[in-house]
Amino acid sequence: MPEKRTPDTVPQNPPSGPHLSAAMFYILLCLADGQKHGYGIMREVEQRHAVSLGPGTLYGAIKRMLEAGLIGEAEERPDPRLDDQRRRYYRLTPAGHAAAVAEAARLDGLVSQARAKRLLPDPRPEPSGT
Amino acid sequence: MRLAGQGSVRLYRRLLRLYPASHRADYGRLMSQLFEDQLRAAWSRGGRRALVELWGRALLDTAYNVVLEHLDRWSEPMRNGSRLLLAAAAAVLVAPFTFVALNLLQYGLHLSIPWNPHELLWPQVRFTVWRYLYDAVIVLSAPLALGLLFTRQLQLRWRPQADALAWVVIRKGDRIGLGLMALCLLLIATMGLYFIGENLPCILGQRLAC
Repeated sequence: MPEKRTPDTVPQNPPSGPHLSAAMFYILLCLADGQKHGYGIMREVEQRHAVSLGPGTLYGAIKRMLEAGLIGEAEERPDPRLDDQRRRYYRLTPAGHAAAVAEAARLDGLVSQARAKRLLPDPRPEPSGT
Repeated sequence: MRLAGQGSVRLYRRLLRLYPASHRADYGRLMSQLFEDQLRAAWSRGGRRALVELWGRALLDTAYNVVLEHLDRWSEPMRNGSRLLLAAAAAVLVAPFTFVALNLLQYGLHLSIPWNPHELLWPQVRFTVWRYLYDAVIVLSAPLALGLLFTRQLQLRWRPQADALAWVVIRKGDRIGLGLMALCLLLIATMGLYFIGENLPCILGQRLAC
C-alpha cells in the first residue's frame, strides 16, 4: 500500500536549486529532450505550457543561462537541407541538467506541501474498502 | 500579409535599437528572426487580429526587457570591478597596517625605529595640514578598506519573475577578501583600544592636559 503523506512525512526542507526564473525553467525543460533553436523553444513552451515567451524574454533568459553555463550552443547542426542555417541551436549542459533536476525537486516539494495541506487532491486516493 | 509583415519587421528592428548595443549585436538578428517567425504564425492562425495581439505582446516584451538589459549592463562594471575593489582595499590598508605594526615594534618590543613623523618632523615645524591628513589617513583607512571590501561582496541581481525587479545579494566571500576584512576589523579594534587607553584618563577627568 502506498505511503499516505501527512504533514509529518512531507519534506520540511525541499531541495533548493539555483534561482531560476520561470522562463529559464521552461527553457531547461524544453532542452531536456534534445537541442532546439529559439523559435523551437518558444513554440514548445507555448504549446505545452500555454505561456508566450517574447523575443526579448527568450533571448534575455538564453543570454543569462549561457553566462551561467546552464546551456550551451550546439556544435552539431541538423541537416542543412532541413534547416535554416542562420538559426542557433542550444543544448542542455550537465550544470543545466542539475539545475533543472533541483528546481523540479523544489517544485515537487512545494506540491507535496500543498497536498498535505489539502490544497490539492491526493493523486493516489486510498481504496474505499468495498 | 507580405506588406504588413515587412513593415512590422522593419518597425520591430527599429525597436531593437532601444536595447544596449552589445545585446543587440549578440541577439538582435535572432530576435528579429524570431519575431518574423511569430508574425508568420500569427497571420496564418488569426489574420490581422492575431497580428495586433502579437504587436501588443511584443511592445510589452520590448519595454520590459529593454529596461532589464540596460540595468544588467550597468551592473556589469560592478561585477568586473571586484578585483579593482580588492586591490584598492589592500592598498588603502597599507598605511594603518604599517602604523600599527611599527607602533607595536617601537612601544611593544622597545625597538628604536625612527619612523614616527609626530616625533621626527612636527616638533620642529608645524605642518598642521599634513598632521591632520596623516591622522585622518591612519584613522579612516581601515574603515574605508572595510567599506570597499563589503561593497565588493554585494551583487545586484535582476529577477524579472520574482516579486522585486532587482535586489542586492551578499556574495559568499573568498579567502583573500575575508582575510582582508578580518585584518580591517583587527586594525579598527587595535586602534580603538589604543584610542580609549590613551584618552580614558581625559574622559574620566583624571588628567587635565590631554
